[in-house]
Amino acid sequence: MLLTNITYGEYKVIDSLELGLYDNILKINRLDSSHYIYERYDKKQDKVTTRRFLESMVGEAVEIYLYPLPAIYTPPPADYAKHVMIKLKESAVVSPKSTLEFYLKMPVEVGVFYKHDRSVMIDVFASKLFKYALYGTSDNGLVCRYYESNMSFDALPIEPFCECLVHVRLSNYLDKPAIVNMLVIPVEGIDLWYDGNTALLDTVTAIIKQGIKNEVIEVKVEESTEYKYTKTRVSPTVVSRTYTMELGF
Amino acid sequence: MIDVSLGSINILGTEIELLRLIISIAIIAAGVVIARIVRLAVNFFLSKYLPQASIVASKAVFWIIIAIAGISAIGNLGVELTGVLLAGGIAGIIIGFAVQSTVANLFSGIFMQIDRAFKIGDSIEVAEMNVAGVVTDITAFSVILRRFDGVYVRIPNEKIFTSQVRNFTRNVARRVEVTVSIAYKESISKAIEVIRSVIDGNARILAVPEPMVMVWQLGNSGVEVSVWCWVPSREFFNVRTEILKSIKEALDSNGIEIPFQQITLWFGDEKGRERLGEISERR
Repeated sequence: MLLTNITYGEYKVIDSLELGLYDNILKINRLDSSHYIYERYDKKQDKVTTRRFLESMVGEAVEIYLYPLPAIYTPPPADYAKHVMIKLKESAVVSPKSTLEFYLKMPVEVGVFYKHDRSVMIDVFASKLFKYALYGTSDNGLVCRYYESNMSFDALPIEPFCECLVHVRLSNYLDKPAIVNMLVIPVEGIDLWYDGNTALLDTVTAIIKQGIKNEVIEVKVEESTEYKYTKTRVSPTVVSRTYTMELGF
Repeated sequence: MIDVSLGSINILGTEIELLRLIISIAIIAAGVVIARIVRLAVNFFLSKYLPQASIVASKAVFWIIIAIAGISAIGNLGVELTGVLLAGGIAGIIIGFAVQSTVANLFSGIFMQIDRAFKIGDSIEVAEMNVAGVVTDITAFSVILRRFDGVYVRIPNEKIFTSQVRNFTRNVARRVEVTVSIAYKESISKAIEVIRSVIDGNARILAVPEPMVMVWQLGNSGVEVSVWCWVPSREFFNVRTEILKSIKEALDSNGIEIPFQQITLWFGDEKGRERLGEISERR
């Protein structure tokens, strides 16, 4: 299947399915009346990197889902990043007591889920190489997934299965203009939205305000409901949707 | 035995004012209350970090406060305490010598928890003892390490408390530093470009702080290029080994020579020159 024809969401596989996502080829083949095999072949490594056996009801199709996930799961163990740092290619200048709304892009990984009794993630991979970055200093900062993005007042075109769109509402509560060069967004456990091969994060509200020691940005991933998109709802745990950037912006 | 008269009481022949007696009782009562509160507080705060030490420490604090309250109450009654204190002092010295190291370890353990230099799961090195490993347990008297070669090591708390401890995993990121030598005939810019491409292709190497690739030294055999890059602390070892391998392979595939060390010997006397001539002829 061509990349342009591949979408996020459900795939019912009766006999076999092959999906090519950049350097990864996902293959699902029926073994017998109720067993399937899932394999991901990585062209760069020239080998099958993931292999899983799946079950279905006798004679029925197996249900596979492709979901966008915040890019914090690869390469394994990759459990040191729970935030994404988006570096703005051009700084955002926000006037005093005003709000700026714009769009950014954020990296995503593709999660492969299999529904039998319940939805289980059987694989996750990144279609592109994403780097990490240190926010703050090594002793009191945090390691984040790193991405550089343009800022646009209209929705940006995104690279399918690599990026997702982020709508940001940046408010300046200070009495002076503020220059913002980056945003650190908490994404652990955040479910993304999707439509076709486009992924979207809930609206991010970022408030520039005076902290105890210095000026900070309070970043919050809002729980939006009004989207026409479909929400993935795959995160098993509820984690903080708020992060305060106290170490500069 | 007890003769109560106006304003005073006679206990075993000692005349004690009633007011002083009431105050002494109040001191003891207050001491018990304070001791209980402090014991609970010590137990509460220490049980999170040192569950075993918390019981001993809270009891010790309780009895110290009771003893202070008792001595104050007796002193308030006008009883001569010199003899008691002297005997107590001597006993204290003897017991102190006997349990000196135990108490030192116990208190070192408590102070280490306040210091929070490491926790279970951290990779540490105790410099003075030349021991490094993963902390698997912190008890009231010792720290248990699993050395990187798998050996079990028990270190008394006092030794660790007074030593320099390097914690490899406490900070979220660490800098990997490797030096690669390239032959003098090679283009430095090309070599740096090749090394940079290796760094850019490794997801675990942080983009911020930006990795640095620089000429560090003009060495005896080649130009020494240093690579400094930040990585998540837990990935330090993996990344260091990965990039050394990748840099070597990338330099090889780009035809950039990594020189081996060369030493030219000059023979000073006639015999040496003859020998050198023989070697040259043979070659």
